[in-house]
Amino acid sequence: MKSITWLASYPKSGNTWLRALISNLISENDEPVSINNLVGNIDASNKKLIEKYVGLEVSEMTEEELQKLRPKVLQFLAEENEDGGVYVKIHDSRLIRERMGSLISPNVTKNGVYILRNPLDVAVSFADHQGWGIDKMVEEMGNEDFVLDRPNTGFNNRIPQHLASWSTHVMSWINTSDFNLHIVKYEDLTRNPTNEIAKLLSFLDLNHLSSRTELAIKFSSFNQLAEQESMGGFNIRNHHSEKFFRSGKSGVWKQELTPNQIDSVRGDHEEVMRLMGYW
Amino acid sequence: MNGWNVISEIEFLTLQTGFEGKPDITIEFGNVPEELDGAVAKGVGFQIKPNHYILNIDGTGRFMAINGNQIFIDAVNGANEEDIVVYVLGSAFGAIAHQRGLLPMHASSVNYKGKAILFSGASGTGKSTLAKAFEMKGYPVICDDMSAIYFDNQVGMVHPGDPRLKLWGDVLTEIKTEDKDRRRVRDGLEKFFLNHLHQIVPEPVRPTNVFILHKSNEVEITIDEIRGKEKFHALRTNVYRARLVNGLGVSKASFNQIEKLNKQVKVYRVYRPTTTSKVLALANEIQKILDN
Repeated sequence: MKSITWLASYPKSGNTWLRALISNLISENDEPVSINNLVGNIDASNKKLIEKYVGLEVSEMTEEELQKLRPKVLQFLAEENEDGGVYVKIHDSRLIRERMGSLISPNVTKNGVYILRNPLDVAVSFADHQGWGIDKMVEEMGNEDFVLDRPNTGFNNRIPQHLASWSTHVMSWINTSDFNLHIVKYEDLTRNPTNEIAKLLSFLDLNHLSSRTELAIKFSSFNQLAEQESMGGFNIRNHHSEKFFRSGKSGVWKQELTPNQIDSVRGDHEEVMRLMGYW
Repeated sequence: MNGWNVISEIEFLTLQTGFEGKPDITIEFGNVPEELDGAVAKGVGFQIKPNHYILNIDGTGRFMAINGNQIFIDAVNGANEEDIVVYVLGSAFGAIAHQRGLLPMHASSVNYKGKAILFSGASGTGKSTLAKAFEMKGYPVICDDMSAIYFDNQVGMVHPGDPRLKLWGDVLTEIKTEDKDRRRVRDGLEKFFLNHLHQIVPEPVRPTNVFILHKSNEVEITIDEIRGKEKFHALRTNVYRARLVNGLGVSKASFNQIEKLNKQVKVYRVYRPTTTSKVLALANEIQKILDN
């Protein structure tokens, strides 16, 4: 039953990169794993997952009905993957545990990896992804009631995810005590991928894959991912955004944010930024 | 409704009323067991065995479809009629269609110059929207969401179904429809029932083309005809409530019917942009193919 490995993050914090790295570590092929076929392709918010296990049309279900089904679906998924384990990508904060019951329940969980990134860079990337102005994005990142993918007028193929503010999101995950959680910082992964991968493999009990490290880094490089997107498209890119893989660099906020926006982010998140070494 | 006479304890504003003779299906309130004895397949919230299907929706109720002719509704206190109708018209009727040996396709369909054109695909890909676009061009809608196909002497025919389309608020804004008479599908859902602009299609129509819709992030529309195994697979994937087929014990019959349909129709894979803004353009592209 305890077969899910969560790949968790606030949006635009390197989750896809992490998934690409793990996929290319596990893969036995001499070519990069397709970006549309990475581990964690199972996304805890995807309505298709609900459709698969519930066997009915999701487009006419209310948000409440869908939210109630999510833990049950994850339980089925966990049971189905009892032998091999399964990676599940998730953006919800762990606050949802109190609100919705047991979405990220230790009963279905093997362990989890949480990747986080400097919120100043997140603001730039997330704004582009959403097709929003940076001011609005900065405001939402400080909003404790921020819910992702809650459409007002149309169909969305994702179930709304309760993110809360960036700070709350980070704290809700890193304070996890009911299963083992490994924390990766995007910036560390950029600076010293070999070292970070060694720690990751050790946590996932996959040390035997360490010989794939260099290849996995190469196959998951920003250029490689961006090239794949330009060739064949990436199925989780938001249509508001031109490219999912934008620059991948750390520190772009220095050019892209105004002093006011920087002050806002720092004002909203000072405590957690200090705690996580982003000050 | 799908060629059936229905007697129901809940009111369906959608159905044509009045018929003579015996009902094919009765719908009534009654006790639905929590556990289905001898279930051969279970998913989250559903249980099945041949001729039996139970659906359990927390907060709304339990639904049971048996023997292709009875639907029982065990609603929770406070569930309103709209909530119930969604599951009866959807999953329960889907199960009934399978139990009656039809081939229900997950598709909306229109009568285009005497031929049934099916728009199929996953939730949210635009099946009803395209049907609406064709209706605005003057071609009547046959079914929304589920198109049940009967095979009579090897020839499959689509029988007219629910005569209303269900469309999202953003689509209604985009296509600037003049329908005044719209009704919310459910509380808290920005999806609306629309009455038909045209008269209800009274007779079964022979299907000739199936367009399988996919959303893509690309700006351009692409439409490709598919053949061979891929064509068969695409039809099979788009059977309505395909997960019920095995548990209900109709997989062989279903397989044979898909083969027949496969010989009767052309199938196209359509990639359309995520935004609603190209709906009318897409309808024009499809019409060009149909007229070719």
